[in-house]
Amino acid sequence: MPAVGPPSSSDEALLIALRGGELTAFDELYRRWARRLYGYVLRHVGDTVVADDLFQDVFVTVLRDRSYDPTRGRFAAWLFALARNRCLDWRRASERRAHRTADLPEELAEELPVRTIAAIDDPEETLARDQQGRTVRAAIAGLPEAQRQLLILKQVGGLTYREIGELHGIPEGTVKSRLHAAVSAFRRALTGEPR
Amino acid sequence: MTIHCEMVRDHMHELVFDELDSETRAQMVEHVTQCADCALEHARWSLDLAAIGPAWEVEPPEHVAALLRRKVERAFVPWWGRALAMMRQPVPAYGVIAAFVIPLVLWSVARPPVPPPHAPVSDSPLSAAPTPDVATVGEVPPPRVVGYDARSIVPAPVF
Repeated sequence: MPAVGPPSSSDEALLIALRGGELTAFDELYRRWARRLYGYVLRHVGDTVVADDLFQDVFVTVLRDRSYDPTRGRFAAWLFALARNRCLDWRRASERRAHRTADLPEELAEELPVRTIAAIDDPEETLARDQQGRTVRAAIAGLPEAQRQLLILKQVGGLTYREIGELHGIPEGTVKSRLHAAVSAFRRALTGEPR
Repeated sequence: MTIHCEMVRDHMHELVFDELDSETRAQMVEHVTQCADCALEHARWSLDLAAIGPAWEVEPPEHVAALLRRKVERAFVPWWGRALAMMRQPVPAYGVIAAFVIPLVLWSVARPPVPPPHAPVSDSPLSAAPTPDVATVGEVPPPRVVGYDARSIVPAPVF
């Protein structure tokens, strides 16, 4: 999915502007990526307090990390790669401490405190969107973990096959075949077709 | 190379994901625009996949957004830039009032006492000390010179 926003100012150009002290560049980056990143993190960890911290941490780290060269790589790939790693670290630590035993796929299908529809005035439209969102989330939650991760990184993060392959440490061809399977399974679940 | 419907269906996800090379993509797009079944299938794929993003998005809480912005501001905008931005903010009404009232109050508090109107005024350049009060009788008043002009002093005769 392409990035939202004017094509004239890419994410990378905005990051360069921000590093030059232009705070409006951050506002634009935030507008483009905050909802996706927060949704990704929240549905990964399933805890709003943890998600709040991880979200800020990931965003600030990516912006401040001078090892990331905006002219050589895509901002979105870097952002979601870091978010994924931080979420996995948190889950591992959480499992070690045995503080959290909930089953993630079930949590994904549950309705998290979604605040995306506040701007919509029409209640019928809100209801329809909510219903559609629930259906889509349930379909995604029914996918195997590996396929789900690939599909989310592709559609929410907008990563390419190559970027996903580098992130997961798998060949591009494997990403392609897994995504094909994931999309087929997702569409079957969405339409209620038998497997 | 001629592209058939079956081939298009096999690569439909790559077309929707925009992961095809330019040549294959052009051929597939050409086929899809001419084949009603494949066009319908392409539209279905696109709609199904486009629904994932919005369904997964969540608006961050306002306090988190504000906190993050402050962190970024501290990290990227130098102190003088922040000060400049603060100065560019519209000045509130109470600030304007304070800007006038505070100097006025300070001036009235620190203003030197006005001498009484009946104070003797002498033409003599060295007569300056005011008449001592009753409470200060016996004390030596500090010398004060008012209207001193060295040219008015007649030089002593030289013998």
